[in-house]
Amino acid sequence: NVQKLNIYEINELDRGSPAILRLSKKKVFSLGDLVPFTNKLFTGDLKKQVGVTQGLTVLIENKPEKKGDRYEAMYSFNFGDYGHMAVRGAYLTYEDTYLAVVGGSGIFEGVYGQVKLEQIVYPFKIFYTFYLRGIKELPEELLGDKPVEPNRLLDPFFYYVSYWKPILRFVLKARGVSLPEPKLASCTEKNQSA
Amino acid sequence: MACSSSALKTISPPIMLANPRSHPTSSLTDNSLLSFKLSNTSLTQTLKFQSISPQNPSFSLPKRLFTCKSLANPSDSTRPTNVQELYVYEINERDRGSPAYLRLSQKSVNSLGDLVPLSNKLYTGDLEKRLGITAGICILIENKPEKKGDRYEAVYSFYFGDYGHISVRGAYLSYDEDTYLSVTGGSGIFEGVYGQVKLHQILFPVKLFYTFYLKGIKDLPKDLLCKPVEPTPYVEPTSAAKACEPHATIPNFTN
Repeated sequence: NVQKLNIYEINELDRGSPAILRLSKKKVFSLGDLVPFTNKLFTGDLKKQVGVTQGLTVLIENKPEKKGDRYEAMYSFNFGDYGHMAVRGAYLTYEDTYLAVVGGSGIFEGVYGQVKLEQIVYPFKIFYTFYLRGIKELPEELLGDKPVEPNRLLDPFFYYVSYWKPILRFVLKARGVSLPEPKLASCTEKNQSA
Repeated sequence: MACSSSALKTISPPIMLANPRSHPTSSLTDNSLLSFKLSNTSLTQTLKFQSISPQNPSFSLPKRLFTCKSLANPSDSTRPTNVQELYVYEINERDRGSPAYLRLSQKSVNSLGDLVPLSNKLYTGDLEKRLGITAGICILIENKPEKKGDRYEAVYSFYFGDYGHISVRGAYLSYDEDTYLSVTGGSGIFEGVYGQVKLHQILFPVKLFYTFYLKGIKDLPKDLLCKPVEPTPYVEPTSAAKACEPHATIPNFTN
């Protein structure tokens, strides 16, 4: 029996993520660049923060004709006291992909299956649909109500506009101009990890 | 079907059931001891599996099927436990900037801390079709000067175009002929896959031959299954496959 789980991954630019390591020392993104990252996770109905993602994406190749890149992603979805799920697969910045769920802990112990990654706003908002097998029924808290349908047309523009301050700070930092960092948001609710 | 009928006869010396063709896992003999304890209900399952996959060459499986059934979680009885073999060639044609050796340890010899992201091309075992690419990273663990090679921890995936992908992890020894990696998962037709893969180095680091022993998935499409070409240093993919002509690739092969 397959269990479906919808999760939003949002980068609010307050965790120092992503850390783009240009190890290939070339002008364009090329094989050798590594991008560790960590973003926040919210339930599909965007009502609660459930945890964080953390991991590494290895740049495989730059696709100029598609105006994007191919990464090999290896990261985990950490749900705090509930446990975590580890995933592996391809992350294409220009299209949706499926990743493999390779394992988990806590309530996700013994999990297997796949997860669909849909980018709503690159690289800030990602919508996941997990197809999980091998575990018991997931708690209501994680499943939530009907998931919020991602708005693929309007979201990108409004996102960049509403998040102009952290985006500007991020871009300036990449160019070497340092500005005072905002205070890191800390979560005090139970069953969540900051 | 001869193997399955002999399985029905007796549960003693199961070692005789072993396929004379060399099977990788030495744990097979351990599994044979467990098969003594198994009930006859699993035999009907054996026969069902045999009839579904006639093209499956590995008929030593009746023994393995018993053990898999006993160890399987009763709740996911829908997960097939028959082993499917898949052969692929990984060829580095030096046109993808791979491997990118990152000497992060900043020492003159290879040492712990160096990372090697890589991405090479993937062809079917008979070298007639282009399948896609491999993509991932090797983390250098230690340099073995007496063996003139290194030990890496390899974390990468095999992409098969529209069919999906398989993720693997394990040790990669550049000086050793063969190592086994674990299949951690997959997507598409490989969703829910588990098992192991044998890595055979033909020519370091340009040509590698893989034998996948996949469990937990439905029968693989005919496109992917083939009689493999014997691995020698001189094997080359057909020019049609190299040029990625439509008849020599799988649908939407990964590039």
